[in-house]
Amino acid sequence: MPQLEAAIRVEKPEEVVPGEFTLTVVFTNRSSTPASLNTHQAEHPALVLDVRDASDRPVLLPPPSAPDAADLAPGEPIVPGGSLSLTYVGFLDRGLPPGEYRVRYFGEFPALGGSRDDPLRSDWQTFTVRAQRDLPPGLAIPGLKPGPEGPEEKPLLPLPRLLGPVWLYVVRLRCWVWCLLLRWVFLRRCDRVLQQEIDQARSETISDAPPGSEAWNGTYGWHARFLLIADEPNCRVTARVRVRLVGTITPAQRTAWEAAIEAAWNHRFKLCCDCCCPSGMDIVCDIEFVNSGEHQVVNVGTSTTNMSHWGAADTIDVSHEFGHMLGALDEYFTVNGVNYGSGRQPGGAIMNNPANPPAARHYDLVRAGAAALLGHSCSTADVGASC
Amino acid sequence: MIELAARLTVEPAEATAPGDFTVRCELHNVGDEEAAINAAPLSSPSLALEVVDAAGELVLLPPPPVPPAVPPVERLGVGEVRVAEFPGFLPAWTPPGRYRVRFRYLGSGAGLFAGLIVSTAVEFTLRA
Repeated sequence: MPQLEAAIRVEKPEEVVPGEFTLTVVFTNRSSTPASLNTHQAEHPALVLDVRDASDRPVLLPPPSAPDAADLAPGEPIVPGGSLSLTYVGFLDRGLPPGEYRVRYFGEFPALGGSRDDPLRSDWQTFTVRAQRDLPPGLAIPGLKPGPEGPEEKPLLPLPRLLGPVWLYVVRLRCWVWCLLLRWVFLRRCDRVLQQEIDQARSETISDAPPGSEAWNGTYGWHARFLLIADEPNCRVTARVRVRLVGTITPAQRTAWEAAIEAAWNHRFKLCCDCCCPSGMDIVCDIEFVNSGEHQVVNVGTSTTNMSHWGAADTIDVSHEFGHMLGALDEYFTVNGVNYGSGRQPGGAIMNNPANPPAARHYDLVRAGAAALLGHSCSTADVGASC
Repeated sequence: MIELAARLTVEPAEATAPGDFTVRCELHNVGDEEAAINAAPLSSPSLALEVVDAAGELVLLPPPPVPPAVPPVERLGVGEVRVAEFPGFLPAWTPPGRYRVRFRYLGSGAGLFAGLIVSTAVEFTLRA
């Protein structure tokens, strides 16, 4: 029998929101000798929580992050009669269907308090998951993936793969001929300036936050709102976010925000949509400070705490928060089941490391909106690459 | 023994614009030992607050900022109070209705207070 005893405590087991479901496991040493538990390792829900549905089928949890030195350390001693508790937050996928489930702690390794032959297990705790209610809908963007974004790499068919650059030439030639037909036979003028207000509800579930950052585990939601302008004559797509500020900020600080955001997001990528702009449409992001008619309200404070609260003197994290306004998701820890690793990695893009530039996938809502507006599919390309 | 208690107040109790509400959260050290706490969860309303509507449905807040590489540590002496204020915590797109908010501090980190401290929920009304 393991030295430790594990007991599950759940504050509210009925009608839980999967992404917010929280439970605490209390470990008590009932023996007369010190016991050990690697709390870093035991904090990974996927390693220790056994979740089953009403038919006793296992519910798969998002994978744990890569082990670090603390995961491999001997662990913390628990004195006889002593106890410690671990809290698990947001380990269930928010898309978990409603119904009854049960969960238990199950550690079958010494670091987790048990062994293969004699695992440490708690009693089962039953809980019910409620039906999810969607956020108010924004403008439906056809083809927008719920996230994480990023163009799917489609495998090339055998013929294009065989022909290589020749195939690319054939495709461009076909495009050019079609373009010529459109412009000279069907009198397509390429002079459209189209605009559309975009309002897209976004949400993300962060999980697997490491020790010290568990509070990040949870489900978050916001609305990506902007005015999208597709300007064919100038081959430019503009995403204009009107922001109303609440609080005190100097004109210099406001200008610094604007400069930082526009430097981070502008002229890095282009949209390749159709032959009106054969070299692509430059993506321009514009933050406009207004007194009314805003897309977003930003409260000015001493530090940046989320998309709606920016630090007056901050010019780094605000660019990351602006990414949320464009619909981009976070890219640190595990987001919607995709593990990105720690935040602020030296090589991470802006949604991982706010000091770095964005990646093409961060413009996916802009791309999808432009495609809906122009009536063509669009792809995102580096501004220096050919379409 | 380290013991923390949470308290939350909302001002005003009624308003017509989501941005008019301000929450004040207080984390009291009510034990008889100094507490080392991870201050990161207090840095953002998205991390520290839980808002539900009249039907008990969670109101999702915008994502918190990218966490710092090293969690900020603060020391809370016996009887001391750490205050976090969040003006305009309610998202601008929140529809009118009655809501409840509570302060939820999830402490963690090596050598730091670890556990979940939750305040009682406070009701407020967003008028049309």
